[in-house]
Amino acid sequence: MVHHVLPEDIPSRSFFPRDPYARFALLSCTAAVAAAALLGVTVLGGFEAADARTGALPPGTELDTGRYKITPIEAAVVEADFATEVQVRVDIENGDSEPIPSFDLGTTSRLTLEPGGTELTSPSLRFLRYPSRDITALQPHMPEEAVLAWPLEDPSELEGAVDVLLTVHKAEKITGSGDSGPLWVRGGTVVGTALLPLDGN
Amino acid sequence: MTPRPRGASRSHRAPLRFLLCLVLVVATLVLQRFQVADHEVVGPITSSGEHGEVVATDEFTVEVTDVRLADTVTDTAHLEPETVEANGVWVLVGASVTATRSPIRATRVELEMADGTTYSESTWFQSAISGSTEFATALPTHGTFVFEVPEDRLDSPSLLLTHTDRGGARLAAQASVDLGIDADDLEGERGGAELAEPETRLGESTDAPA
Repeated sequence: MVHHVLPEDIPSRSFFPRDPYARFALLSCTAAVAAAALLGVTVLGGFEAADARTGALPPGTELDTGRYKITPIEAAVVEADFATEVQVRVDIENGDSEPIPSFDLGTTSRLTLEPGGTELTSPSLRFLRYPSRDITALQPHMPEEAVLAWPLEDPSELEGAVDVLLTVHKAEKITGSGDSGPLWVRGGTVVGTALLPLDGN
Repeated sequence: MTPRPRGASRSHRAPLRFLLCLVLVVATLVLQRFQVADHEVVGPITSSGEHGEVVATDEFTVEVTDVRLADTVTDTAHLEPETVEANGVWVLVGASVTATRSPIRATRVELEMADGTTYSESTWFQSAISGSTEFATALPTHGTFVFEVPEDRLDSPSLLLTHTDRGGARLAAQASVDLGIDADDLEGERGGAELAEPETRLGESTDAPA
């Protein structure tokens, strides 16, 4: 006669207890811990929404892209040598370990004229200490008082503009395709926006 | 001989298996650290050396002859020479560069600190050697590389010179020269430095006896 092994004879490999009461107790405890954790998070103010800081911030607020920090201070329309420019006075510091090409600043810090929402592109960077010299790269860990200057192709774009809105995005490092190195790109998250009155218009 | 009950032997082996799993997971994580990214596999091919030595790569040689720290730099080649103050300190690296195979038209010039932070050359001075300075084959060009660095970040810097003619640094020839300076060199009076245009020594070969 074949003797079948009873289920209770086979040693359990699972950490989950066999006893239904013990199972119930374990599940109840887990549920209680999860509920307490959720309650704790709620009491402490809950999770911050990703774009909680999209409401326009006042001038002088520091915004951190994760690659560089930028503090917009004021904006003005200036007749420069070759073009009319919208200049934004900023404090800026590269927090990365490599120089940031000035071109990259315009991809993560975007400027629009308000009202109207006309977006200006390709700003150049100059330091207040030598304003006639263009900067091609922002060196690491050197806080600078600087001017970001957006040239206007058509000065009539300025008609009716009272403010500028500087939208600063999070910078993201992505792996390059094939054998190209990692790349910095504009991330989806907005770190903050600053509304600056436009002087001289 | 009584055979060991099967169940007992299985339960005896369970902790051993768990331990083996744990060891394998840890080993996997450790081994992953040795994985080399694709872009590093085809990164520049570096030859290293020190201040005063001729560092030879497949395509050029570089010899650092002089390293100076300065508060101000004046470009004498400029029509109206202006004295430019540093936001930190100017690092001036005097060097001789010789292309050994074919003319070099583009380089990437960097100063790398001990922690890996890199600074690119200052583009403010017409007389400094920059990434677009051309080096003729077999004719040594002597000039100065200029970098602006925060004082508290100057830590055992090396000059990195990479040949980038063929669009990027993929398998490019690169020289890394330890400049032999440190934070201690910042102490004391630094003063100003004057920059002169790079000089190419015609009719002189690096192989010629001195």
